[in-house]
Amino acid sequence: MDKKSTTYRTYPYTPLTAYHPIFSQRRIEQVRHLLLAFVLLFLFWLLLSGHYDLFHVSIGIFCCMLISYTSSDFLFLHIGADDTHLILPRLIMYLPWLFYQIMLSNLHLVKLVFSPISRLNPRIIPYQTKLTNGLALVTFANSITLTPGTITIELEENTFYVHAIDSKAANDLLTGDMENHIEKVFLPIAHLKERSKTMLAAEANNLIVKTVIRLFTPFIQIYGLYVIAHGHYSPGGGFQGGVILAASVILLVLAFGLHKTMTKFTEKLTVMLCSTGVLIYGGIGLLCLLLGGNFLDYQKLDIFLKVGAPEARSLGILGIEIGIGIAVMACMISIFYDIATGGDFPEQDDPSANDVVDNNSSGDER
Amino acid sequence: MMENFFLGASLFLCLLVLPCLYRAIVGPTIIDRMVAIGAIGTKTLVILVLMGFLYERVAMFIDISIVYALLNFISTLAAARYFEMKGDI
Repeated sequence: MDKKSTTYRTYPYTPLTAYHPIFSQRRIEQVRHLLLAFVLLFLFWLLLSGHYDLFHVSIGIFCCMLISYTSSDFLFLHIGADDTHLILPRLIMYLPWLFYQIMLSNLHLVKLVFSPISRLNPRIIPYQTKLTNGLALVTFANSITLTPGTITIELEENTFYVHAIDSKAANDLLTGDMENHIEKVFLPIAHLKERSKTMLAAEANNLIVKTVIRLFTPFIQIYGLYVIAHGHYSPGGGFQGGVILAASVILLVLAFGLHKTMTKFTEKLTVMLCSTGVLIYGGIGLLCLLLGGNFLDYQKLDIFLKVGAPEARSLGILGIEIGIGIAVMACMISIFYDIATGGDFPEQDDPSANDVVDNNSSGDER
Repeated sequence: MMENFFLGASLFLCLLVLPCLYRAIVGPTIIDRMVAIGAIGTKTLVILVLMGFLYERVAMFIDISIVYALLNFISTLAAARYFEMKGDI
């Protein structure tokens, strides 16, 4: 946001529409990403939630808006929104073929296991791939691993190192059949050189882990919010949902390193969220006390809400769960940060302390 | 009929956990143990869903098994990273 406004100020004579943030190409792309992420997350929410009444669906819409606002950029790094419309149906069409291949190689492995003489001939084969797009590479690597008999060990530049259990498994891979299928799925972007090269350079290490975690994070967060919101129907509630939300941030630390995550999700934010959660919890409790009930006596909230005692109790519990969820999430992340840093609290303003952090983080990257 | 099938399947999976447990306890290297724990986690997941069918509360048990899968994923990843970085996250 800041950058855009400065660009606007440095070129005052160009037409407003050219630099106005609403009309810029990048802004339109961002909005499309937001909308697409919202649709995907909301479909996931509907799949999880068995309650389709107005109240729960509106909670779902709110949660999905929140998560798509905070985490939608996780979903679209290797592909744009345009390409997603094309690729998603093709990816779903690719799955039956993949399952068929998995079944075939499963049968082959069963034969190997039950054959009286051992015909195992394990080997590690390098496999040169023509794919360059990060997401295509990750899909390919995971397809290889999912097929029994072959496991992707490492991905370097555009060479896979694959462990194959015998010559048939190796030959099946070397025919390039699977690669051609994946190339078809990612056709418009599979070979985009410049774009993917910079991306590969940016995250050459652990591309597979990073991509998978980046794609998972928004869905894990939606799941955490679902557990919080449905605490009074199914197992879970504030504590469990808070821990799941914290787990998504811990996963980001594991993939992208402590330093990068802490610049996004700062310690200041954790402390603020922690006290906000406690404030919501204590505030609702004290409100009940002020209205003449006991501490956390939700029925008294009906004076404000005017929906009847049982609904007021339900809403009160939901509010408490949200408070607990926020507090637990922030506390878990804070504890994890403290353990991971070993108790060091580098000050942001102190340059020498920043150097120490940078050294640590360069170690983290590998 | 179906219940017996689910019960038998989950008992069989429980039996299959034992060899993995042997590898997890005896396993000469850390990698052996990590892979064994991962395999046990995957079996536990399936057993949880089958238990859901037995108790006729599938929706609830699927929620639990999703969380279990997530925990399994995180623990494997964290252990892998911990040993790769030689004791530093």
